[in-house]
Amino acid sequence: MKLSRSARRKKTGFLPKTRFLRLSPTRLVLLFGLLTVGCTAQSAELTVTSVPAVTSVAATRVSAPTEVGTTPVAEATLAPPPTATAVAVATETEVVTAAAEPTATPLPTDTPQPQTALTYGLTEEGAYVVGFPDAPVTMIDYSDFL
Amino acid sequence: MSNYVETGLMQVVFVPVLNHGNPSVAASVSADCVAHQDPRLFWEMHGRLYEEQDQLWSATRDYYVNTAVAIGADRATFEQCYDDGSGLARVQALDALRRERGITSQPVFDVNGVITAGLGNLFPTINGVIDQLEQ
Repeated sequence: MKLSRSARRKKTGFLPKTRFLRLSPTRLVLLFGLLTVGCTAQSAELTVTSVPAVTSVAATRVSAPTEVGTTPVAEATLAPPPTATAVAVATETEVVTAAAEPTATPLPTDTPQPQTALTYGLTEEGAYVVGFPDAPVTMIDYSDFL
Repeated sequence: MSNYVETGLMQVVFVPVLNHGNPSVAASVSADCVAHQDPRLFWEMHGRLYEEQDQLWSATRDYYVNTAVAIGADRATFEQCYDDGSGLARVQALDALRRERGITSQPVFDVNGVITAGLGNLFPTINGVIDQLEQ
């Protein structure tokens, strides 16, 4: 009468007598080697790779929700001449949604990323400002329209 | 430049320079007047005036009124600002400010305190400032 699997297990111990145990030593070594190589390859695939691309941060920023009518305090630094200091703050601001998809050169990964929204406004002195108030770079453009 | 602004890397401040007499004044006043209706309109006007820069030497009041209206400004409000001298006072104050800061030519750019004249060195200057921020 043929024994059930569980019965066979009880009779012979946990490991049933399978073809695996009937392999010659040479074949056992080869099989062990194949198993070892497979495990090593899998470990290499788990190596930590790259930091998320900065463009995804920019895209998230660009799709920030619109807040119309809010007046966040903006820090627009009017870079002074070498001997003086001056700080301008935007006094009239309107938050708008920025463009949907940035086409810019990717931002440097270590540059501090602002957290506020794109605003249009005026500085304390009445100059015209556009940008994220906490942007790390402020450029003052002294230009004539002609 | 819009790439730097829209991605949050840089904010831009424009200070008008009145180095070419009445044509400079008229253009700057028109831009100022739309800015005081809506700050966003300033940058629309800014782009329009630079695109049509060759017309500004002989531009009349009507040109500026029509341009302001075309970009969305209210006509009556613009005309009042343009005519009553309020815009003129503001741009003259800004012009005086840049003189106080030693700016005599144009365009001159101040990028986080680094001054550069002309467009030729602008982007290297910006990139240099960014590199310093990374360090």
